[in-house]
Amino acid sequence: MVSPLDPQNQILSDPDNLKEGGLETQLDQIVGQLIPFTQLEEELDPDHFQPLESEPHTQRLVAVDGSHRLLLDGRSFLIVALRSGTVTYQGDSCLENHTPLQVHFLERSELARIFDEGWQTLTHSLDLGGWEAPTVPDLQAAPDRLRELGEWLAATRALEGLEAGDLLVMDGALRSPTRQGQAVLEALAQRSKERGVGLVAVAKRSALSLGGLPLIPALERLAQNDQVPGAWAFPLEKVVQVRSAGQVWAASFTPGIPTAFRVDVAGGLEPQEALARLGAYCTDILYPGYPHPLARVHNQVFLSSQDGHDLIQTLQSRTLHAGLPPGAWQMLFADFHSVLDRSV
Amino acid sequence: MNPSQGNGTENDGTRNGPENGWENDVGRLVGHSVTTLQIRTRYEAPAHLGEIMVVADTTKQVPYFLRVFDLTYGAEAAGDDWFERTAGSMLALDGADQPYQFHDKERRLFNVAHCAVLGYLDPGGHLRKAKTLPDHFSPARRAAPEDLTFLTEAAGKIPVGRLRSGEQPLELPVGLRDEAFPYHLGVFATTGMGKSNLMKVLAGSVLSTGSAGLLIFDPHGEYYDGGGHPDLRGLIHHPRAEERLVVYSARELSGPFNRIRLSAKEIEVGDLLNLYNFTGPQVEFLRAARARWKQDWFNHLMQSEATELVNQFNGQFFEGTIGVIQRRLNYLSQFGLITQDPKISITANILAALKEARVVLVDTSNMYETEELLVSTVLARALFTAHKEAYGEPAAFAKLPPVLITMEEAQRVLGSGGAIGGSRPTIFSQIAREGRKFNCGLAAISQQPKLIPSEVLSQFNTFFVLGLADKRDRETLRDASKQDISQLDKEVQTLMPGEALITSPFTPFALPVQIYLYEEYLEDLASSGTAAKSPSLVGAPASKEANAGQEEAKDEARQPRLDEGFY
Repeated sequence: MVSPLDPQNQILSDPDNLKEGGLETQLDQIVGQLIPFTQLEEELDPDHFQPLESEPHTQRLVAVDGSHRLLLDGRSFLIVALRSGTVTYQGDSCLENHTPLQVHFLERSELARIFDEGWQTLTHSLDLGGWEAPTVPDLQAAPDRLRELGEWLAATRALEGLEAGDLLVMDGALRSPTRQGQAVLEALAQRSKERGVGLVAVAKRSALSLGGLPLIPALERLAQNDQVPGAWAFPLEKVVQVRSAGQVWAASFTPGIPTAFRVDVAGGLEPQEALARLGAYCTDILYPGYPHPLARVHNQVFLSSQDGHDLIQTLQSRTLHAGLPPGAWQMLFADFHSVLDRSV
Repeated sequence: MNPSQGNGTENDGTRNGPENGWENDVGRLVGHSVTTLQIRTRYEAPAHLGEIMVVADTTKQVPYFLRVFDLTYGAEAAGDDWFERTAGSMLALDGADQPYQFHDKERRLFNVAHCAVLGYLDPGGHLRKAKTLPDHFSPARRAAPEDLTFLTEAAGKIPVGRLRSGEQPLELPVGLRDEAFPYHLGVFATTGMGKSNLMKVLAGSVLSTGSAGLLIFDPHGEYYDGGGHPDLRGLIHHPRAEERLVVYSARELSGPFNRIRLSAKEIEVGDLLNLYNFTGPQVEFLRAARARWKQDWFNHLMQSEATELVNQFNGQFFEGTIGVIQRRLNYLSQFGLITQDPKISITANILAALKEARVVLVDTSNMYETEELLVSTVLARALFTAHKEAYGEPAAFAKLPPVLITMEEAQRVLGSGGAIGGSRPTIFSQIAREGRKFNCGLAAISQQPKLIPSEVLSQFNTFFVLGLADKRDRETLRDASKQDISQLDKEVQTLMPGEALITSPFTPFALPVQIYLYEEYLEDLASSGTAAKSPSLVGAPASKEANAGQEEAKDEARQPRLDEGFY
């Protein structure tokens, strides 16, 4: 523990922070919250661990992901880059990438138009005629919602081309914070089941918790301490109630790699079978324990800062060429935060 | 998009297409400065140390030439410790006996080739030092022989091998210009890296061209017939040996040869100073004897009593001083090498042969080192003196071909504190300093260039650098080279037997060479139509007296030398 008198620790040496009930107390309280993590496994039954034998999957697998990058913030509008798409595998071979890039000028009315158009396409594809469109999101929340919408559209389109025994793998969980979103996922799960396609969603980061502490790391620790051999799956319904369009599992796909993920499973394959087939894709040494098609689609749709920079440069160049005075560009996108940040 | 199309980069018109051979399409420029460029190489087209690359600058429309001097790992990955983390995952799965794969390896992994910029080719076909950078991301490919035809003239008429790019020999002969001979050569290599093979090839090339005289001292007995090794060939096997090779030897050879004999009258005081360390009074006595008895000084000292000599010089020199000199002269005389008959000498014939641009092989392999050095010193001095004297007569001098004297273990006669000791200038160091003016060059062959004084080494314009393990040797050559080879240290370290660098002011950059294997070189000569003549009689006849003298050779006193290694 760092002593408050430690001269290296300036933040704790500040007298204002040492007052009773101040920073010291808060830190101690946080420590008290963290310690029980090691006792969490006592509430988990190791008998629920199921061995997971990966099973070669010779049929197609489509992985879906999306990303966005805020390019410019014009205060009353945003300029956003969005990329959602799919990669298609058969065995170890990547058959196809489809990851189109879109750039949107989002002000209130344009956002409403894009959002409504996307929603209409989606509900039409999934026969969700009875559902009204959700409220158009706030401008700042719009990029996330549009990305989500893009992923669902990509998954719905991909599903149309899949056959019984194929796998549709999404990034995240089969869960949405909105009723309409959840309805979309339920419909997607139902459509998958009808077509005999396994629908799986893998969450790289899960907020599922027990007593306020993260559940997946607790299971990883329990599996290590109990020396669960090989890969494993753990039905989370035995521990917590989780809202999902499928069954929710924790799964560690690769023996020797302790990392586990929340995995939602729905559609036309039994959960254990879907997990076993997905396990066959977790062999890439760069992403140990993670399905490499998901890693690939993540990389394909990822919009790096360099991508963002290139798009901004292109946009600026074209705008200035079209007649906008250079000073006007600066005024449009000036942000006083940058002035503050320079002098922190 | 079909993943086989790559990572989405559009062809900007500068990419090498399949018509140029994908295997030669190495990568793209990614940096770095006007003297050092870096290429990201395609995963499936790794570069090799020493390879010559061509960068096509589409804006300036000129090709840049680069040479790879280092290679490092690269990966499209985040974090400085990505390699370590990935290896950690591999180790974990290895430990769990789990199979794993490395997807998209071709896109993620690459090498970075760090290259020295050799220059760019101007429209006139001359390589010029680069003072600007090629375009960003210019495509780089391996050099093909047709890219390097600008080297043809610089590569010289006396080929010793093929231009090499990395490990790949190219069909472009490389060697020396005969006019480079008077500017001296250095051949430097660790044992077994191919010095002897190189010298045989060089001698073979000179035999073929007949454009220069070559005086080879062979203390290891490996040039005549390959040292008797059944798989090796010697100069005797060259198709023009009968016509242009002259052989002298102190041992019996499988074919005709001339016995090495020196007349006592042609030995000079300076020759002895090359062999031994003498005290000041001893040197004074030698010079006094030379002054008094002229060319008979050697015989006179051999035939007189020490006390008699003391008296003849009125007691100026102690008997002990004279005794030391007499013992040394006696030692030199005991092997039958030196005769008192002034008519019996090989020197004149050797000078005549060299004047006719022949190759003269002097096999001293069964001589003791002192004898060997005496022979080489006397002959080298005679040759140098002859050229020096001819210099005074421009018409005669113009007719002299350039000559080259090859000296094995040259650090003995060029260095200080070597086998012959002392720091007194030798005839060889004198040739190194003055020979170029008189069209007389020295080929110094050594495993230890660091033992050759830098001032002497700086006189050598052309270096053949073969594999050198010793860092100090490499540093010595780096400092003395007429071209900047400071970036080539790793290339020199990784040279394989038969691979060499030639540095010379006659070439635009240090040329990487795959030296011909002498035996293959002979086969190529034969297959190219050069008629092989029967080597039944080798060498021009020496004087009748010299041939007669071979009957007197006392072989029982001679010990063969050990080979220093094979190519």
